[in-house]
Amino acid sequence: MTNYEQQLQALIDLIGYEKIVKHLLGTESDQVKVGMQLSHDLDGNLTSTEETVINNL
Amino acid sequence: MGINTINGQTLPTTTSTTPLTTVTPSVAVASQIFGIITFTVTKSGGGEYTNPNYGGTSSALGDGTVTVSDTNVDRFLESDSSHLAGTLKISDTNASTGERQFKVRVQEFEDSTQSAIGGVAYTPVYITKKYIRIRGVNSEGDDSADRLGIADINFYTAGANSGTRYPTEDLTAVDSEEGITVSAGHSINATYDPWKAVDSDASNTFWWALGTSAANNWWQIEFEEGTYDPAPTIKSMNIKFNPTGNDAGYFKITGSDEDDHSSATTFGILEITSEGTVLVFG
Repeated sequence: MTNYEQQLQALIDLIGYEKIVKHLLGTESDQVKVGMQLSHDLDGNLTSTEETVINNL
Repeated sequence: MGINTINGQTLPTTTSTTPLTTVTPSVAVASQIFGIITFTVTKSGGGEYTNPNYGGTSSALGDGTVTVSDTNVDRFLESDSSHLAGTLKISDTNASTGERQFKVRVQEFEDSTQSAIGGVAYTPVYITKKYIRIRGVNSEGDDSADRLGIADINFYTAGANSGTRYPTEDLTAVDSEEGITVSAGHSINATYDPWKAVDSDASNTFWWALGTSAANNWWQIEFEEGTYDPAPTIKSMNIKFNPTGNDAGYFKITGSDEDDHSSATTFGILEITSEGTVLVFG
C-alpha cells in the first residue's frame, strides 16, 4: 500500500466512504478537510487523540 | 420673494416639514493598534445619524501636522449596505509619536449644512511587552474555541513590516533562537508545534490548535529577560493563516510582562479577512 493509499484508508476507516464522497461532491465537511490534512501530514498514522478530535468535529 | 432660479436652473428645495438641524458629532476610539485606529461616530447627546456622510482628518496636537487626510479615511457600509455606518478607520503611519486629534464633520441627507467639528484625542499604540499573545476570538473579542492555524507570523520594529524582524531567525525548535521562546495553549501533536508558525516554511507547515478549548486557543512569543531588557517595541506585524487548519474568524493581540499572562493589555481585535495570504497590520 502506498503512502497515499494508507492515508486515505486511515480516513475511510475512521469516518467512512459516504462523508468523503459528499465532501468531494461539494458539501464541504470539516471532518474530511481536517482528516485529510492530518492523515497526509502523519502518513495515515492517526493516533487515538487525533481520531477523537476528527470524530468530535 | 426669494430667488427661485439662477441662470435658468431651478434651485433645490426641500419638502421636509422638519426644520433642518446640524448636530455636532461625538467621536470615540473603538480600537487601536499599530496606528490602525477605528472610531465610532454618534450624535452628541445620543442617537445615530440618518443617512450621513463624514469628513475626517487627523493631525498632531503639537504642531498641527496632518497625519491622515480625509481622502485616506475609510468609510464602511451598514450591514444591509443601505447607508454609511458610524465607523471610520484610519492607518496613521506618521513617524511622530505624540498625541493626535481626529476631527470629524457630518452631513446628513437633506441637511443643507455640515455639522460643527467633533473630535477625539489618541496616541498611536505599539507593543513593548515580554509576552505577545495571539488568541482566537469572535467578533466581540470573546475567547473562542474556533481553532487557530498559523502558517507564518512576523513582528517588526518599524511600520509597514520594516525594521528588525522577530524572530530574527527561522526557528527549528520552540527556543532555537537565543532570547526567544514560542509556546501555545494547545497543539494537536508535535507535527504542529508552536515553532512551525515561525519556521522556514511559511506555507505548508503550521501551528495548529485543532481540538482546543476556548481558553487554550492561543500562540505566543516571549522576549526573554537577559537578551531583551526591555522587550523590543513592535510597530507592525504580518500573519498568514493556514486555509485548512484555521477556523477562527478574528484574533486578539494581547501583551503582558507576566509569565501567566496576567494583567494583560488588549491591543486589538482584528478580522481574519482571508486565509492562505499574508495579512499585514501596521
